Amino acid sequence: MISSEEIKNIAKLSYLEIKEGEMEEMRKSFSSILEYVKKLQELNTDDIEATPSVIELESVMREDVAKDNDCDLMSSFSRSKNNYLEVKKILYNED
Amino acid sequence: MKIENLTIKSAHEGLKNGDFTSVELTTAYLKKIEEKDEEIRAFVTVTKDLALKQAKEADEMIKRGEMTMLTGIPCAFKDNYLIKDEKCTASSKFLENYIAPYNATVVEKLKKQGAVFLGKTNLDEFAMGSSCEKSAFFATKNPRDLQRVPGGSSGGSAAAVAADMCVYALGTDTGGSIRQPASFCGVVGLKPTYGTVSRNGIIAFASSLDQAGPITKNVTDAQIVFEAIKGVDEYDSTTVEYVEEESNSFKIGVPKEYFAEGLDEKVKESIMVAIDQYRKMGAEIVDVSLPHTEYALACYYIIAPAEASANLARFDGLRYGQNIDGIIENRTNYFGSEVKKRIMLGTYTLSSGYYDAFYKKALKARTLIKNDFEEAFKKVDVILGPTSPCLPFKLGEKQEDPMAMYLSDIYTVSVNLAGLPAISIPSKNEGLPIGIHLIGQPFKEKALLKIANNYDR
Repeated sequence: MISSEEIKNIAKLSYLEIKEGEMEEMRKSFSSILEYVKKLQELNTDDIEATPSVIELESVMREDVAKDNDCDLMSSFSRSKNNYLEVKKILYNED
Repeated sequence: MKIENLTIKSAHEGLKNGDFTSVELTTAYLKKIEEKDEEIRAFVTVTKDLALKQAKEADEMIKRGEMTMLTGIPCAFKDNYLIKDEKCTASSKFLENYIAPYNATVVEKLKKQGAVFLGKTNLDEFAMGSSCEKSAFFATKNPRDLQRVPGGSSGGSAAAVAADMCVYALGTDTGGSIRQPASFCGVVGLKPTYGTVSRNGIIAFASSLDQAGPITKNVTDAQIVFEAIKGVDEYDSTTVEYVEEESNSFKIGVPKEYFAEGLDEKVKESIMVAIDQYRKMGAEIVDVSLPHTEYALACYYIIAPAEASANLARFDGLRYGQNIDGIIENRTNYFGSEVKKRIMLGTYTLSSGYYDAFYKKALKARTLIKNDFEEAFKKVDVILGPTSPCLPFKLGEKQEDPMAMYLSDIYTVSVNLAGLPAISIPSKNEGLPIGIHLIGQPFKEKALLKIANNYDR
């Protein structure tokens, strides 16, 4: 079974925290799913191409011109200032 | 007025002949929701004011002779479609108070036709689940048996259609989320070909698998809604232009792998009867093989969480409500356990050291699954099997082991991995509903719907 340490590390990478009371349940179901998906290791896929999408994806280019619209994306921001999204400081001066 | 068993076609006739107005029709549905939804709990939000306003506009359109098949007809949306100025929660605490700033392309298309929006329906949080029990708000009940789940994740939409609380509803399908609830509630659910319907303005789960589609009373209605919502959209670069040729071929493939261990006897019996009925209608029944079927679910449970972990990274509490102090706290407090589990699974399989063994392996397995279908479709027009291996299960029955719940999608996930169209139609059995799953070739919905309609009639 996957260890608590590993779960904590994956949670950290996912910007999540697993509380003590949830740990056993998470370890159990996480392990049961991992065990199941390991089934794929039986398959020989040596000369097989990967299919990330069933559609041939191409980059779509357009002129960088704003279109008229009345969509107010900023209304859902938790905090904004001078028409910008306000976030906490992420760069600090070491001094 | 009586609204039981109204279809798009019959409601359209009634509006056209002046038997009732859209305002009368809409009022009748709102009343039905008021009476019935306390028990079923299909709706997260009822958009009464919007519906009545749209109904008035629809009546004006009808008077002016600007009527289409969908004008004035009340419908519902799964609560992951954005409707401007209405709440869109994805049944998550994270978006409990989120107001959509624009319309999804599908919403916009239906709005232009004068459709009436009754409300937003319940789903498993962020569409992750197969029973609607993973909604952060409440569980929805199956109108055919209140002890049982309606299926998921579009369980609210399927239940609303089955309980006559709307004429039709919209859902999304990432691994069976339109077809499995349609099967459980005894209605029709169509998952179109990947790339036919725009996903713009629909909250993303797994972008290479997600597709929007209708849940309806019958196949004809599914076709009407599909025709209305499909088409290239400049806001979704995966939508493609195509022309479908007419076909009268009637060859049905039956894969032996769909009748293996784990299939409920009653379901099997019903599907066998359906195959026999098709044979009597003149269909040629052909044995086919999809040898990688047993790997589809494992493949899906790597790819879908991987894409979900990236898509749900946007929920940082900065741009969609909550508060800016503490990204980890927001995500920890407002995501449910199933969502957390899938984000973490995706993070795990995409992390260095596991990427090749899990994610890349799954993308290769996906190719094998897709190739199986291509091979089979050289011989047949559609493939027939059960939509779900089990009957609608009881609330709480599959909560313990996540794999028990995931296994109810075993026949539907491979369709999303291969990007194919598929429809679930109710079998004509007695007792709990059973869905017949018909899988078509890419961009050949007309052929698929025609064959589905032959049985549905």
